[in-house]
Amino acid sequence: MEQSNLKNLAGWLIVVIVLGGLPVAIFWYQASRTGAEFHQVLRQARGRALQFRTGLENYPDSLEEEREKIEFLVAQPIGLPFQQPPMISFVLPFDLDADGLMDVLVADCANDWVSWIRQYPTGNFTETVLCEGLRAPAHLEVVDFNQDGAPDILVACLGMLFPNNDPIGSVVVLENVGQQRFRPRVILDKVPRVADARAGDLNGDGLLDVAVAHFGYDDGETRWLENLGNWQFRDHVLQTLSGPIHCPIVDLDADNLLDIVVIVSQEWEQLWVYKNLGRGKFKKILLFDCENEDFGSSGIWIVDLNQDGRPDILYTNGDAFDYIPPRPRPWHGIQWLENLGGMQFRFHRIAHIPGAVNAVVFDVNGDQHLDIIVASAYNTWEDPAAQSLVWLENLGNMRFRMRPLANRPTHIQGLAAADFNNDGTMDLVTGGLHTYPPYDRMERVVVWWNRWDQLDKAGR
Amino acid sequence: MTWPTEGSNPPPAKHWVRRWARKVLILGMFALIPPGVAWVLAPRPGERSVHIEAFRYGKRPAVIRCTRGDILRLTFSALDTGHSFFVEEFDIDAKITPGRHEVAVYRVKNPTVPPQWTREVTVQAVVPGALGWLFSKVHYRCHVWCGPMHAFEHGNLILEPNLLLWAGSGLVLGIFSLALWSLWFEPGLLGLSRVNQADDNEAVNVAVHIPGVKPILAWGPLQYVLLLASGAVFYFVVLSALMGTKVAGRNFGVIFTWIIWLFLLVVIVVPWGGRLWCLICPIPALGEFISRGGRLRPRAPQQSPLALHSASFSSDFMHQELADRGSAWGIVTRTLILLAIGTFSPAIVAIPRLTGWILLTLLLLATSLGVIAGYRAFCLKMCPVASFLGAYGQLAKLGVRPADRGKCQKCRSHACQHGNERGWPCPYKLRMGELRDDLECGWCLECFKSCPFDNVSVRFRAFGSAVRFRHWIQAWQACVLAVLAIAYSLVYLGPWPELRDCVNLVDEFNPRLFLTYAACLWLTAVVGAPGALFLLASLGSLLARKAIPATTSAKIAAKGVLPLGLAIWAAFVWHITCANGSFVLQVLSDPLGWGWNLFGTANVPWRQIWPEGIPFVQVLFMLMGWYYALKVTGREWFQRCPSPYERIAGTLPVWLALGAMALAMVKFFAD
Repeated sequence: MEQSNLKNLAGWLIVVIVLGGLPVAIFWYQASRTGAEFHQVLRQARGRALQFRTGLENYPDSLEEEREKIEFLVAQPIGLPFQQPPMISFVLPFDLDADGLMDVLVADCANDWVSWIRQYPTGNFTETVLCEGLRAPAHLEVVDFNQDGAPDILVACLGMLFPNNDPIGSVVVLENVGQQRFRPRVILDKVPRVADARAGDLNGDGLLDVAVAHFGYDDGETRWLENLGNWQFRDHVLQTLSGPIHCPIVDLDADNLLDIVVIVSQEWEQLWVYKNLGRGKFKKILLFDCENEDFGSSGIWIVDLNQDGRPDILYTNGDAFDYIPPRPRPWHGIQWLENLGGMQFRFHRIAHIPGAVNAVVFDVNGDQHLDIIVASAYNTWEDPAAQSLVWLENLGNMRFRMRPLANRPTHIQGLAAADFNNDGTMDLVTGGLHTYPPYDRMERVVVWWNRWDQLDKAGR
Repeated sequence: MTWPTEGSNPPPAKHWVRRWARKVLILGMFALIPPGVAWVLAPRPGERSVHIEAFRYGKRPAVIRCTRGDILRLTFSALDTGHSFFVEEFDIDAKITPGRHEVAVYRVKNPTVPPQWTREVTVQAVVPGALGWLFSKVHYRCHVWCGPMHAFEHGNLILEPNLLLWAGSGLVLGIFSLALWSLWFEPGLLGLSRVNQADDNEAVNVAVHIPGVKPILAWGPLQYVLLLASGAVFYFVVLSALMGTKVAGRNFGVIFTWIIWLFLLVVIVVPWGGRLWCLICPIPALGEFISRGGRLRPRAPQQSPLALHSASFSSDFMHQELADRGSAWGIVTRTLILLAIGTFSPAIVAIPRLTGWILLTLLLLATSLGVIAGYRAFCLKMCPVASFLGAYGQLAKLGVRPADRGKCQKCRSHACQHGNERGWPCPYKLRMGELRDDLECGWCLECFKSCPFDNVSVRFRAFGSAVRFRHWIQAWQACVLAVLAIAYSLVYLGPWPELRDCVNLVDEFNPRLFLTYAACLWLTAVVGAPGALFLLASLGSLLARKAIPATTSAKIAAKGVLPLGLAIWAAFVWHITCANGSFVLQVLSDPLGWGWNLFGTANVPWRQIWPEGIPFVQVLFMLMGWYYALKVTGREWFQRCPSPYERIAGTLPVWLALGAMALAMVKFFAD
């Protein structure tokens, strides 16, 4: 009888251990792999299993009512003409020929090239292809990679714009060999699709290393390439989650060590910081984690939004590429994580903006507050009123007022700001990513001249 | 009643060899002549231009027919988002971008090689390889994730002459001819004279012939050990379905349930072991365990402080209704629940969370009913899997039966049913002495322990030789399951995107289309097919001068539907497994899709398993199903009718209908 009871007890014990132990083991393993806390993993798992949430239930918009449009931007399409829908993934203002006039570097996924739209003289633009054969370039960064005094271009290549799980991504450095000629150097290839690559001296050896965000699709990674010199690199994988989009390098905690900030989308919707501990060691910190696996994270930008001397993180969510047809969601928009120091951040939701994918920050109206211009690539374009550019006017104390800017062209993916005409005001440049219909309001690359200083007091 | 023209002694070996040689010769002629003629008459290859439109979730044209060896010039366009024209056999993966005429052509075997950009892809319509001329059907799929139903987006490239179609169709006719001949002249040709092995003596007692089997089956902890393992797997399936990635193809819960488990169940477990799955099914285990007072072993007398019922399972048991074995209503409810789940299955498969919730719901139901009723009331009344197993399990080669029915007749204690200190009572309320079919026995093995005469055995018999219908409802059930199998095949394996639009509940729900589809499915399954079968069987009975009643004729006909239905299920799961089998490697290393790589296989690329062979295996399954359909029904008619004319006349309408179904499915799978 006793033996029988013991057997029963043993049976129950095994069952309880399995029932309780299995999920604990899963969460613990995931936490140890990713650097997240156990409770963070548990929360996200619970969110998946249970009721759907937008992820913003506890974060109200810090937005005032909408006002009427102020027409201070004048659009000028530039660059080569197009026959088929343009697919510009990235635009980067840079004076490549150092003639004092801002040019535009363009990542073109339709033609698989990086091109240079040269401005000369002011307002006149001509486009030249710098390098062909770069499959679906997604991000550009100008950096003197080999420290020879000439600006090189660091290119992140997806390999293919549409979802693909094959290892077709690459990182290419267009080495400036003089006279605006570039030699492509592939420093990484046959990897999951690369959405971003940023350069920075991560281990303090004086050489520029590269942080890489592999979006992949089902498989993805975050890694950094340690520059060993002579175009030799050693790669270090930081994380194996799919969906990293951006990986800016910045010293977030003012310890003179460059950290890596990564936004991971797909179904993770997490914001990670790889805090640099020196000598190539990093500590993973999960800054933000959304329970909504369809949050649609689309990008992050490091900017001191509240001008307190600490870099904050501006964060858009508006990716609707997975939906067929791509349609905005009620939780799309923009937010920022306020840097409180010591790797502490506070989340602030700013506004609901359908399909928000890009943002630039500058003082539009000269009131000493940093405003935000947001681009939308996924909106209900059948509605002529759907905006592709909006202006979040900073009213002070980090309160914003949203104003429409433009409803054409549609499908704006690339967005950057620079003073193209040296008049002291920031202009804009946009690139269109027309991957789905309608195809009626298409433009490839557009410069938006800022005429704010020419407005009268009534705003006309 | 038997009418053996040959005795129950097996024929001499040379007779057997000659018989088989004749079968092979006849079937060989039917298999080779039609495709041979088609080959000779085939037109010469030429050139052909085809424009392919890709959209969610299909390709237009859905079927491309060409002559083997044709030069195909393919152009592409995408209507909504990025797609691809993926043909693994031709090593082509052409990525199609909306708004662009050019496609990027990648190599399937090496996708890292830079693609070739072109407006027109040129291929020769013949599968590469020395035996490439044999293959006539190639699927072109989509290898760009374009939506939740992207895995089902495909079309068919048919290389004519379609040798497999000709050979398969010929064999359908050949088998039919053999069956007619056998039924009229030579019953031994198809084994029609062998008595139904529902009677035990004709089946081999495995326990006697294979030492060690009986002790293992009678080993007390066996079921618990197996349940522990299956329970752990089940738990992990539920966890991964609920918490894991929403990408179905990367979620262990989905892949295990709808590919691994379903494949093993349909292709291996059921044909061999019938309801053997029920031995390790974890769903009713918890309820059963609780109702047994949390005890692993019974104690005498059969009283447990926690049980909600008395151990005396007599007819005045308070929840008799719930545990009423063999209830026709149980068959109806189980089957309707299976049909309901089947109607919504696209959403269940595409959304992993739904799989998890459904499994949990079944567990909750089974536990509740188990605790309240004290038996596997869930299994008897509600389990959709039991509907499938109970029907097709009757065809299986293994079944639990008494070793000597005479001993059972002398038994007074009926410990197999009521239990004793050695074994629990039968959770299906079965009594071994009365067990003559495999409809409800769930292989719990308690009778092996409890029988005081050690009189329980496992019988090994010919496939399909022990089918027995107690109730006409089982005939209805056979029709419903067959219709569901056909519906699954048409919707998921067919190249027609219009059908998939009907079941697309995930991202483009069209209520009108879905309700139309559901209505057609339910009407056909519940009313149409069984009604048609009954009418055909009645006609046969009439033509046979009412040698047997129409209801009996209908039951016999339904027995023929069983092997055909199982063959269609097997063909369906074979295709699904071969098309998605490589995901198994991925989910083994990364079961929740959380970026793990436990065994280094998380990043293996998706590849199909022998895609050229899929139609061949499917046609083979159909031919086997057809063969056994004829054999099962022919044997019944042979044993009931002395007159050859009556046999043929009686079974012909049903045979013709089943033959048309077999032919149609051969065409569907091969063409």
